[in-house]
Amino acid sequence: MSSGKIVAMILAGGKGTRLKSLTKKLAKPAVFFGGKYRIIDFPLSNCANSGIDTVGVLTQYESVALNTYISNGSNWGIDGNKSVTTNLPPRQTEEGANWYMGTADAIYHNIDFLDRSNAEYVLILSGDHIYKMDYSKLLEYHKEKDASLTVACLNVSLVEAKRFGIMKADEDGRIVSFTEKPKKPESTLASMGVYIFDYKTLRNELIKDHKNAESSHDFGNNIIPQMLGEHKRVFAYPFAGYWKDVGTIDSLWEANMDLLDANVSLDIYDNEFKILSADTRSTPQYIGPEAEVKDSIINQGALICGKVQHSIIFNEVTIEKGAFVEDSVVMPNTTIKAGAHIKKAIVGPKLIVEGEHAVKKASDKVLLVNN
Amino acid sequence: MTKVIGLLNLHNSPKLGELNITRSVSSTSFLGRYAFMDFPLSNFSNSGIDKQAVLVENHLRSIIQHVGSGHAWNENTKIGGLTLLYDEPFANTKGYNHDVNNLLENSWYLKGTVGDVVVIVPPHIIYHIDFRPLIEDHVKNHHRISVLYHKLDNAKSTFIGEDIANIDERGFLRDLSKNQGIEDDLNISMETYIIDKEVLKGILQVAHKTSSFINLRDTIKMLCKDMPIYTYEHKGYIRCFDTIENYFKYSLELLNYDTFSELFNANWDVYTKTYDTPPAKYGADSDVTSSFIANGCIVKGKVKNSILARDVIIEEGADVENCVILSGSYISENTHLENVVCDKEARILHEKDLVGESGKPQFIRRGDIV
Repeated sequence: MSSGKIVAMILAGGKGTRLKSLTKKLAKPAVFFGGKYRIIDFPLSNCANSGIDTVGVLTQYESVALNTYISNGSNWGIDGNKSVTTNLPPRQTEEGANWYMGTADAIYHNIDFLDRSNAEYVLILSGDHIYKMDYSKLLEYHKEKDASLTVACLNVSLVEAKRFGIMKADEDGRIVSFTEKPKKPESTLASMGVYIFDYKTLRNELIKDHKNAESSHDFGNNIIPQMLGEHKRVFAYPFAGYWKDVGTIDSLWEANMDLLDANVSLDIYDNEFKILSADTRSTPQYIGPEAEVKDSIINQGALICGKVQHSIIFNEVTIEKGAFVEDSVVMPNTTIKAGAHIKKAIVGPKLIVEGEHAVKKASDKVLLVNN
Repeated sequence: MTKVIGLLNLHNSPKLGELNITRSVSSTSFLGRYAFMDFPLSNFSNSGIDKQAVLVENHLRSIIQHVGSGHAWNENTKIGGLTLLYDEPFANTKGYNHDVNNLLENSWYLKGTVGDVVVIVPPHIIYHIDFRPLIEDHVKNHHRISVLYHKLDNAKSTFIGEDIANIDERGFLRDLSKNQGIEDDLNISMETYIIDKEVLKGILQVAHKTSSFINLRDTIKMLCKDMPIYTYEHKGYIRCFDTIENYFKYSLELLNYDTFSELFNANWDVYTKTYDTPPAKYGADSDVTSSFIANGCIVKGKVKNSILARDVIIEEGADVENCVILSGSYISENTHLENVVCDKEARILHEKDLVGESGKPQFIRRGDIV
């Protein structure tokens, strides 16, 4: 009998080299975002809000801090008697000890977890995307199309298309071709890196892929083309809404600034779809007698005595009197000293910042102030 | 290691006027982010007291809502724990609903909980303290019962109706009497007791045999004449939140950063329930000074010398000064509020000018549309 059970697997093992020193000691999914959150809060909160009760988080790079943060999933409420969150870092088994060699390989090495979870559907997610999505709608679509695999996708510009997995779909939504990072994109329908598989199919495909010595064991490069080659029912699910891969300093800064843009559809103030996160044991946010705060997002525990304009300020940040922060992101436990001027920068956590860290022109590249 | 049980005693606490019609002081919003009970429970928690119980007098619902599983204040959630003790049979019987009867009705708690010493604290007297050195001294010197006190220099206008601790030259309590505001300089009892568990069980029996109406405070007053009850002095921030006027005054007083730093320090976390609200958002024309702004707030107008709790919305052109606005309230465009205490989920839509007195704030009831 069909259990209909869906298990989410979040790929969170990557280093995120392009985030430079922000990921020196921290996995990319654990990087701070939006005044209060870490990036992985978004896929985990999406799971919670979609009613998913079994979540595996595949960690690898700097896994200890991330495993500690994820813990038993209680921050997202996926820790009850009928729900479970499990960290799945690489491990030693009878067959030896191996690092995860690719996205598909990471899932392959956890087939036993999926078997034990009685998965009928497996939702594959990335731990480093900022978006709000109800996955239950994706699952409905998947069932309705009687698909073996459904790829969530969105429309991007032709320029951006080169960075994504690009697909062509027929009128019914069935994917006819899929190319990872094409030089000459033949469409603008881009994969979000969010997939739903029938578990039986996924299991077979992963085993097949594992035996293929030439495969790079990647969903976009190997598994999806392999399934299309076998004429499996692979469908594209059109997602409309905010989605951003925050893989670079620029895109991380942009996504933060998007929270201040009334025209952007990412709403973290919607009580019916909350983004859940770890609570910080902060004191109340205090805005001092001579402070000036405009067009900004500021978390509890912050102490603002200076000027803050169009910025994102995390918990336990101090902005001293006479400091000026504009168009910037200041991560937790950092102090901006009197006289400092920060403009268009990401300021890392646990720093004491003095002096000028400001771009000359608004069009300049984002500054990273970090150790 | 001495094993300690912490009891938060909600019996005997005063009412903060209209704020406490449906809730007790302990679950009343404080500084936008806390309930009063977070402070005594965090004192327990930070003193390594993991077995905690709340002696509930009334308004059980609002207390359950805030406490939840109690995990916010526990180090070990299985060996520790937070229990609500409620005297159900006598909760509505005048005279009977007091702490002694509560502990007798729930005698299983003291009997079944491992502990050598019990620390009993009130919800409305706010201070921070590390109980560990006091407990160590209490045990070492075989004190059996100890009472905490604070030297006041302004008792004519504060702690009215609370207990004056009359202490002899050797540091023992001789009497408790009500502060009627006659003298400024006196020692005030903090209603905070360190008692050996077996002694406490004995006291409960003594009280019960004396009168069914006698509570813990009265029993200690009676006993201190005949048995040695030791005293410890507390220094530092202390306030007695006993009326809505004082609630208003002491809350706004903490907007002075020096006063704030007396109550809070980096080594003394205050734990509370999380509501997973997003960070506060400020509009392009917001003008906020000398204020506490809780998460979930959206501020587009002017806020000065005020406290906004979770999810408060201040619309454009609004001007809020010297106010305490509780969670979920909405202040519409171009509204002027001054010296107002606004209970939860109120909506100020029609009145564009609401001004209370600085010593007597205008109160807006929970959920009201004004």
